[in-house]
Order: sequence, then structure tokens, then C-alpha cells
Amino acid sequence: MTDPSAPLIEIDNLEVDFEVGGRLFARAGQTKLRAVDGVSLELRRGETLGLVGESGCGKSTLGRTVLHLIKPTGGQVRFDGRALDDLDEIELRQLRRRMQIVFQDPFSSLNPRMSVGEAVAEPMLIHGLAGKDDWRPKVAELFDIVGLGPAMIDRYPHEFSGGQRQRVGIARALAAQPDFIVCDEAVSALDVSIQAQIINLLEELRTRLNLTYLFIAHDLAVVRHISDRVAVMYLGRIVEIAAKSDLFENPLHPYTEALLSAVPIPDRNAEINRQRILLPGEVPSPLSPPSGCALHPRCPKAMAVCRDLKPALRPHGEGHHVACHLYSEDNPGSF
Amino acid sequence: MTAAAQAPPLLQVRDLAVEFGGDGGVVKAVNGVSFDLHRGEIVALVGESGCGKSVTALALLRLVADPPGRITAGSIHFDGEDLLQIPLPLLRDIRGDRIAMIFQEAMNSLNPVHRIGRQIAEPLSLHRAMPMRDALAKAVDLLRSVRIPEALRRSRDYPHQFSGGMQQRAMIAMGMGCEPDIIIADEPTTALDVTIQAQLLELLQQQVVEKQTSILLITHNLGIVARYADRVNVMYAGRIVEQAKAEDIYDRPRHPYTLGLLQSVPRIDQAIGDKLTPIEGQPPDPINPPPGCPFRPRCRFAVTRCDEDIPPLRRLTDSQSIACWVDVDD
Amino acid sequence: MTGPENIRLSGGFMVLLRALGHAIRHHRLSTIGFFIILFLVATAAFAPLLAPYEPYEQDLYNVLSGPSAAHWLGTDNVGRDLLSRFLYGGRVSLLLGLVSTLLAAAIGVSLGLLAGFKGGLIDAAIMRVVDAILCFPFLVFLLAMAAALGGGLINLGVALVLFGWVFFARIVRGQVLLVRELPYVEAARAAGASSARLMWRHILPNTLAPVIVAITLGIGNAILAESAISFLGLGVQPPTASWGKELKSGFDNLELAPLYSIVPGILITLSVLACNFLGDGLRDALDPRLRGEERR
Repeated sequence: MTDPSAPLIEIDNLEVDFEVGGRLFARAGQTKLRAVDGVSLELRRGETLGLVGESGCGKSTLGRTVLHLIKPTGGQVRFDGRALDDLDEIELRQLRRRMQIVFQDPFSSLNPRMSVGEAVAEPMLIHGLAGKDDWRPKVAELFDIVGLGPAMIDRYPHEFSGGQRQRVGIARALAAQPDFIVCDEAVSALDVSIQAQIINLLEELRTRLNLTYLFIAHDLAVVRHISDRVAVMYLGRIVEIAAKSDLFENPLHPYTEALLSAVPIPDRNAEINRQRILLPGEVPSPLSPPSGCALHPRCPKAMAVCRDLKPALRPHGEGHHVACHLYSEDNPGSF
Repeated sequence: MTAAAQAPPLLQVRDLAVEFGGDGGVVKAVNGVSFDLHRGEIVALVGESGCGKSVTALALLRLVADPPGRITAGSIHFDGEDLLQIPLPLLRDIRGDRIAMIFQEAMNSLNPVHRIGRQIAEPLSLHRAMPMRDALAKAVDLLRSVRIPEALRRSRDYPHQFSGGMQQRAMIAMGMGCEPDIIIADEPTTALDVTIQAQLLELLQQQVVEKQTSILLITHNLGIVARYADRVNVMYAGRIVEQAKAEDIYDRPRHPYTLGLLQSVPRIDQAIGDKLTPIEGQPPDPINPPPGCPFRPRCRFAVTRCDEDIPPLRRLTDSQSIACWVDVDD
Repeated sequence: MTGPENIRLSGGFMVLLRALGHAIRHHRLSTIGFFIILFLVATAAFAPLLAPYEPYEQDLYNVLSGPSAAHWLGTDNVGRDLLSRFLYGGRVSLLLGLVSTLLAAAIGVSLGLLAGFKGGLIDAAIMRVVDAILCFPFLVFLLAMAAALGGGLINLGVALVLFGWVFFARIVRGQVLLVRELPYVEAARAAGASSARLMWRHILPNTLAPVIVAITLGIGNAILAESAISFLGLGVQPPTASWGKELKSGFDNLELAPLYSIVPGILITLSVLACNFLGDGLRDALDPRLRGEERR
């Protein structure tokens, strides 16, 4: 059908702006918030790309824009070679069968007035994969896959615990037999003992159904566990992307370093003996981002050039890209 | 910290029980919890949602909403008095003055219509009878001490003008204002990003070192506890199931639940590629708990005795106790 | 609005009917409310059979008489039998209350849903009309309408619908703005659901609770509004009877014939209360969370 070595998703210089505040009294130039600022990425078939960053960095917006739940302001997303922008409303809806999303909040991502069976059956009905009268066996099969009993089909979401609801959410995402799933903080709201169950389930499903994941999370330990490659976002831009072993053993960007050093380790000795890099201050507002490199006001390694010039994402080693002036060729301090 | 262990504890909680009653049945949210907090010490109360850790925190200051909640048994000795027995006006003098509380949702804990500085100054004028002008000046100092830049100007801001991290810092400043003996911090950093989390916890720890404040840190995150806590209490289904020094909890967990928790979190410093070992199943239904040990249905180590008898907390070493019939370490 | 999926538009009404059945069976107050309404509607419907006299039959020798064997509730100021007039009056009041409110709700819910869901120009247009109607004095409009087209039942009903739908539109639009941002709506969109499906299956059912409360209040309000307007001579035209009109004219003769105004007052209160009871149960029955608790 298609070239299996071609990437499943190609994101090319994607930009997303949000209008904020009332239009009436805002001055020009103040009204735009750039949530995603020129992101280019590829997802290969069958891989899990982790996307990490702190709240407000644009990672969730990026995930929704990849699915065209939010329309990009600039740039392009290609799914299996087709540019989503070129599709009309109906074609896009049909393509949605192949790309799904699992949400963070297992409590609000299910319609309280639909039984969980109906919720899981809905994508099948929409895409004609099952009829009004014969969805039950198919839903039961999905319930079995995600570890829920068939007796639960007629229950309502409020009767379920957080972990069980997340299983329903995953079953719904699988119902249309997708190729690609965006997991938007899919395990963040769960207790650790349940979180591990869901992580294992997601990993199992990926191999079994040959899925491709965009795994968005703020927990670096979880992302490290589940991903093949990891991209780090800061204020709407990708600052570093690499194979996971590379990124976690040899982080290049000062922000990645700080992020890694702040992840708590559940081990007394490891914690006491490790070096912390504490970034001063807070993530600046995307309404008024700093000039040059967005990190420079907080960066312990900032140089003069960082204030004026936005660093581009450049390759630095095999499959490792970083957007930092420390690693640009004309910088005398580079190595 | 070892010297402190010799002195009588600052806070001594014994057999605390809290019930929530409704038409649907009675939930024993906290069921016989005992622990000590010494001066200048950080003690953690760790557990998953619904285990009773936050209710325990609220019960310490008798803040459990009644109805539907009731403190049904136990004692809370603080500085020679039982907080469960003293009259309410006396307790009010202690709240916010000698024992301060920091909640998870800073945005909801700050009043949106008052300026930050004023809100921090309020407990000072209330408990210390400080004139408002002095209290406001102190509030600015406090904001500075929690590293809010341009503290004087920002003290005139309203809560919505602060970011989430700054709001939580303002809450900490408010908590520290009266230089309390104890700060109860209920998931103080859960809603925040890791880099901000680290900043705030350093701040709390600094308070312990400088002012000999004691902190009861309530959290679900074993990672946070590892670095900051001196002693750890692990809670499950309303009971403390393991009680130990932080070193021991991580190096030699003895309760199956503690072991399960530690094995189910992915760690950033471990070899890549191992499958996680989750704890199977769900926490018990609080209205109809299983007979015997509440962890029994999920436990890999269960023996027949676990079906009938609830294991009491028993001492394994001087500093480590578990509520379990088996010892995982064997 | 066309897509691979099929939406049975009757599905929503089936859900309502089923909820009604559930409410009547499981919610005690609803059961009471339902039977009160059933009783009142039945007496109104069978008024010609039940009424002992013609409602317009005057007996000028027997004016404002108290209850007697011949006239159970007495007679009015021109000697008409009150019981008969109340029975016939129920036809007008209940019909007006129910029909005008339900019609206003249907229009308001549809337009509110559209405004909230589509947003932009459609929203702005609908909401400006709503604002315009809200700031227009109802009585002035009625006077103008009566002057142009004359008073009467139909015109009154039209006016009630015209002014009533805006409240429903506002309620629903507000709810839609809340609900459409919830993750489950986004989840359905991500699954490829069409706009019609999103509105019908995911948004509308989750906005109905306040609408049902508003309907029960609206029916009561319409009955009361009719009484006020009839009093001004702009509503129901004499000699037609309605509860509201009887209440008002009875009020002038309170001392001579207390039942003249008390009975229609009780009837109005009873119907409003019954609607509220039924609405309460209906709202719970439509919500699986509350329904589940009933089951225990």
C-alpha cells in the first residue's frame, strides 16, 4: 500500500497562534499567543515519540494540532503522505478513524450520560465498522483486550475508578482500529500502582497492534520508560530531540539537564548524592517571550549571543538535535 | 536529628480514627493511625488517593467537615495538650499560629478579591496583634524570603496575577508568617512542574534547618519523599502499613505494599527496558472493605491468616514497623 | 451534516419517554406530580362531560351565591356555575401553559444550541435578537399587538412563546459553552463524529437538566402571566373562562364568595407544584449518576 519505511506523521514547521483577551480594547500585537512556534518532527511507523515539557510549553496543543483538532496557523501535518490541510471536512472525519487520542482526565473524558459500552462503540458506529445491533461482541472483545470484564459494558462512567475509566478511554481509542494514538498525559492523573498497569497495557498494545504513539507527558521517568525517542519542548519550541538513551545519558541542552536533575528518584541514597541544577525563576509567559533564546534569562550557561539570536534546531551527533548556541559551529566554546 | 529523637515528640498522634457517614454506609477513612513528629524533622505521610492521608492532616486541626465526617477515636498530643479535647477557641489560637497548613490548590486557598500582601499579613495581625502596617511590612519580607522577585510591588498584586508556582510560594510565606512549630503541607507541589517543585521543597527544607520547624509532608510521590523526609509513614486504606526511617523504606521495604509501590514507579536512574511491576487490582471499596488485611486481594505474599485477621503495626527494628503478617525481607 | 453514520432523530424523544417512565416509577414526588397533572388534564379534557352546567349559562337571580347542592362551588357575579367555569378554564390555562412553554423551550433550546455550538456570527446574531427581546417591555408589546391584531388566546400564546424562548436560549447557550469544552466532546470529535452527532449525542443531553427545571417553572409562569394579562383585558376574552381570569375577578368578590378566587388559586398552585415535582424526577432520571443511586 504505502512505503513502510516512510514516516507515518510528518510535521513541518507547525505554528499555532491563539487569540487572547477581548478584541475590542487590545492593542495590535498583544492579542496573539504563540503556543507552538515552528515545530518540525517525524514519527516513524511503530515508534513511540515522547514529548516532554512543563505546563504551558505547548505540548498538548501540538498533540491536538497533529490530529487537526486545532487548526494550525502555519505549517503542515502529513499523515501517511496526505496533507491534512488539503482534506475537506468529510475526508478529515474519515481519516480520524486512523488517528486517535487518549486524554489525561479519566473523569471528564467520558460522557456521563452514555454507558461505557456505548462510548466504546461510538467510533465503530461512526466509521461503519459495526452496526447499531451488532457492536456488543466487538466491544466485549476490546474490553477483554484492555482488561475489563464484559459485564461492565452497560455500566456508566461514574461507577468506575480512575484506572478503569482510563482503560475505557483506551478501548475507545482502539475501537476504530487506528494506526496512530496521541496519549495526552494519559497516565498522569493515575495513582502509581495503577499507572504502572496502564503503562504496561499501552506497551503491550503497541506491539500487538503495531501502533505508533505520540506520548505527551510531564513525567520524565514515565516518558523514558515508554518512548523510543524523546523531544523536549520549551515555550512552544523543540529544544532537543534524540533517541531516549542518548537524551537521558547525554543531555545537551541546559534545559534538558535541569529538567532531568529535578526529576525525583524514589531512592534515598540516589537522591542525597545527586547534583541538582535549579533553574531560577519561572517559565516566562508565552504572551511576551524573551528575545533570542527563550531560556536565556534562566539559563546558567547563557552567553551574550543568546539574548539576541534564536538558536535553530541543529543536528549534533547521530539522530540527536539540539537548539542551543553552545553547540553551533561558529561558537568558539563549542566542542 | 538524632538528638531530637531523644526529646519527647512535639506532636504525638495515637489511634486516630475518622469516619464519614452517609445513607450509603459508613466509611472508615482513617482507622487507628499513630505517629510522632519531633522538632526540626520532616515526616512524610505517603499513599495513593483515598488512603486517608489528607483526612488525617485535616483531623490534626479538627478541620474535618462535620457532618459528614467525625473524629471517632484517638488523641493528638501537642505541647502537652490533647488537641481533640481542648475547647475550640483555644484550638483556633493554635491554627495558623503554632500549626500552619499549606494546601495543594493554592489558587483555591487564596481569596481572589484580596491582595497577596494583605492575605499574608492577616494571620500576623490576628495571632500576633501586630498593627496592620507592620504586618504588611513583614508580609513583604516573607515574600522576599520565598524568593518572589520585586516583593514589595508583587505584594500589592491579586492572586490571579501570580503564576501557580508563585501562588504556592505565597501560601508557604503565609504558612511561615507566624513562625509555627509545625507546618502541615498537603501535597504542596503536586500541581506544579518538576523544576518549580524542586524550588519549593528546597524552601521548605531551609525552613526546617533555620527555624527548627517540623513539617508533616503529605504526598503520593515517593520520589519527593526520598530526598526530603527523615521518616516515612506509608498509608493504605486508612491505616499506616509501614513506618520507618527514609533510608530503610527505600533500601529495605518490608511491607508488600511499600515494595509494590517502589517497583511500580519507573525510575530515571535505572536500566532501560525492564517491564514495570504494577500492583494488580484496585484499592478496596471503602464502604465494603474485605475481611482481614485490606491489602490482601492485591498482595503477592498473602498467607491464609491474612484472610481473617487484620495485622497490627508491629516493630521489626528500633526504627521500622509494618502492619503485615509476613515480612517481605525474609 | 451528512456522514457515514445515521442518527435517528426520534432517539431523543425515546430517551425522554423512557426517563419519564423511570421518574414515575422510582421517584415518589414525581409519581404524585404525574398523577396530579394527569388528573387536571383529564378534567379539562372531559369538561363538557363533567361540567354540570354550560359555562356561559347565566342566572342573574342567583349571583355570587355560596356553595349549594345545585352549584357545588357557588356562582360568579353574573350567576354562572363556578365549578363548570373552572373545569372549562383549565382547558385554556393548561393548554396555554403547556403549549406555549414547550414551544418556547423547543425554539429556545434549538437556537441556544446552535448559537453556543457554532459561535461566531450565528451566535452574535441569535444573541443580539435575544438581547433585543429581553430589553423590550412585554406589556408594551402586548398592548401594541392587541391594538394591531386584537387580544385573544392565540395572540397571547404567540406573545408568550415570542418572549419565552429567549430564556431557554440563554440557559442552553451557557451550558453548551461549558459542555463543548469538556474532553468527552473533544474525544468524540477526535473519533470523527459529525457536528450533528456532537450536538445531539454529547452536548444536548448534558445541557438538559436546567432546561427541564426552566420548563416546569415556565409552565407555572405562563399560567400566571395569562391571569395578569387577562385581567388587563388583553388575554382571554370574556366570556371565555380561564383560571387566571377567574382568580382575578374572584379577588374582587373575596368577601362574598371566597371560593371564587381560592379554588382557581389552588388549581394554579397545584399544577405548578405538580410540574416541579415531575421535573425534579425527570432531571434525576436523565442523569445516570442519580439514577444509579435510586437503584440501590
